Amino acid sequence: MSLLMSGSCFAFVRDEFADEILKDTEPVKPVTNLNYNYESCEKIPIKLKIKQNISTKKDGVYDGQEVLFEVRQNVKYNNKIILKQGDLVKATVDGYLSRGMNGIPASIILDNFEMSGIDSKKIKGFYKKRGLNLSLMVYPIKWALTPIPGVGSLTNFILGGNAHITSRDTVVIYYYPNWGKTKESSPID
Amino acid sequence: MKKELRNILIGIIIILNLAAVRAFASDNLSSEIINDMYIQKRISDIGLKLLNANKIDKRMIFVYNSKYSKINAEPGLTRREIVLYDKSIQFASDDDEIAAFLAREISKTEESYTGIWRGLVSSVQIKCAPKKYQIFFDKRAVDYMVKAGYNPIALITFMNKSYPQKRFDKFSRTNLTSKRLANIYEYIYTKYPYFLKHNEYLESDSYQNFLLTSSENRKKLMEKIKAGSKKEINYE
Repeated sequence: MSLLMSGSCFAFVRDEFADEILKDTEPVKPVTNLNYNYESCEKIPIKLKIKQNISTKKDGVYDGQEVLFEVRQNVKYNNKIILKQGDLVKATVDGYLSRGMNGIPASIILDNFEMSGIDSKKIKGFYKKRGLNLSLMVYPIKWALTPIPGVGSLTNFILGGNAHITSRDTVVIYYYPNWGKTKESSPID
Repeated sequence: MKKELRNILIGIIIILNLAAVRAFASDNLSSEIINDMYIQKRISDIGLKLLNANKIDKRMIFVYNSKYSKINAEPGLTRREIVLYDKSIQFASDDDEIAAFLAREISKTEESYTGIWRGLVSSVQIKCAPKKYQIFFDKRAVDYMVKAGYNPIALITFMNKSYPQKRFDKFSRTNLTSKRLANIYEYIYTKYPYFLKHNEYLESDSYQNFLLTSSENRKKLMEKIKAGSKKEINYE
């Protein structure tokens, strides 16, 4: 009985890592997106180009890395310019995958696009870039060679391509000006 | 005459008993159905909230199934149907932990929409090399949970309770669970330190057990941060 009851009496282990590393900081609560309203279909494309090339080659990207873009051409809504050519747009690397065996390509995911004057909740900005996918070539060869013992596995050494986002790429994200407006036109939180 | 009366009485008793058994069985059946409907609604609500909050415009459905079937273990990749079996849901102690499971499956299913032949090649790649994608999906799940207002630490507590630990992962198709947990912890620290600073799961037994079993990995992370390195840590 005492064993059963003693559970709550134990002092719990502190998270020393969090205690030490975060002791002098007060991180902000991340923004959620819960008051959505996707009724409107009206969307405006925003064309961007990256300021500094990024690549999965040689640990070139990491999670949470900030990436800067500039607007390729003026963006208009209701005959008003809402973004000028050359305006800066910030995004973050939301995930990346290094290239793998059997021709699996690397990929980079960018999200959380932020720009002045536009509510980021009205942006649909998920962007993904992959490297060269060699799986289509590798898998048939692998399966054809599998009857010969040990030979099919040799294709494991064929790696897919790295993913690069360069200034030649046009990254297109969309601005939905009426997202979040309910019928009573109450603003999104 | 007496014998006939006795037979009639026995007959009536048997009929009454059968009726009672049937009523009891149908009561049990309907309560099972009501319970299944309740769990199904809860899963659909959480799943759809995750999709909407993250602006995921790919169709997928969420299904509660009490019986696990190995034959169709990955319906997320083929039919875009995310199935939550009894053997998984029994580990979840709150909505955040259910969201953790669903968010992970959503990130996998979303990947099956992208790439050549409407995502067929991606699905084959995920199926053939799941180890490569596991940590990637775990991290995406953290992002999805945060956007939808769920606590990402629940992914750690849920996985710590429900995923077994293998001996090696060098020649395995999957990563060691301890490695995955350490990567999730690092990702939460990097992008959402708020949840570590205000940790609602700190006193939960599952999280305490994670702290106990991950001390070496957390030490590695601390060294990386102090050194200001951006290199990936080789967690164990």
